[in-house]
Amino acid sequence: MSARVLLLFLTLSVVLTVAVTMISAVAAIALPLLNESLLTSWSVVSGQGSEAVMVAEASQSSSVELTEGVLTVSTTTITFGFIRAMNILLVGGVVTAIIWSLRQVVSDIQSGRPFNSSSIRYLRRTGYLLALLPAWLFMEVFIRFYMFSPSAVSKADFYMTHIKFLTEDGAQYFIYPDFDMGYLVAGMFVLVIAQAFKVGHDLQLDSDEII
Amino acid sequence: MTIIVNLDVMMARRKIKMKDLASAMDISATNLSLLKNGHVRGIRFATLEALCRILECQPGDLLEYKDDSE
Repeated sequence: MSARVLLLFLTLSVVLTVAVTMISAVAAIALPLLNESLLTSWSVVSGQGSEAVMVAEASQSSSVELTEGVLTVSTTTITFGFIRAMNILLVGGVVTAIIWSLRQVVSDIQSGRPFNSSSIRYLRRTGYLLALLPAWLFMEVFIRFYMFSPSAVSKADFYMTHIKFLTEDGAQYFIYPDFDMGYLVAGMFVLVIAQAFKVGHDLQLDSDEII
Repeated sequence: MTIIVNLDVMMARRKIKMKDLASAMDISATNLSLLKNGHVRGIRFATLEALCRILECQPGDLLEYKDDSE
């Protein structure tokens, strides 16, 4: 794939990502305003002695349902809509920044002088964002659980790797957030490429100053 | 810098203009000016060879070492 085609593909990806992010964020705020439920779910693992049966808990504006290994919270509260929209904007913004940075690097490569300070800066930014993204997605599961689940603080125990919670019938359940090592490795790989570009940049400067 | 470029002296001796020398060497006048004023980090053997050939001189006529402490 030539740099030109890749540049076009990345430009379209940026536009698409921004559009999807904005639409999703607006929908997250608009749904509670239109009295539509906002759903959020987690994969749960049942503890010893408990069975994966439906457990329901309901309050005025939200309801909790546990069925077939999935805990689902349905809510119509506008605050949760705003929180959800902020998370969508944050993740969407990070993804957009990653694609935009890669686009700038490809643009520099296409210009014929890829070893410049802006390429190094964009590659470093991409690397750090790729490495931080799985960390945020990991933490987001905990944050979302404690913000969205009614009476989560009293019924759930927080551990660094998981959450343990009890249902009204006394059954134990666990939520294990995924940590995507793929993003972390990709981020580190991009940071190494940035280091290689730094060496290339130094050599380019040397070459430019030798007549 | 302790290496002095005496290109301007040799150009004056050979009565050759900057533009003509740059054209004969097939490099830009800007780069030749940078070289003449000592604003470069180094010089390639190929460039030095071309200068010596066109100006009919030795590398020592173009480059001079001066001790900073002197």
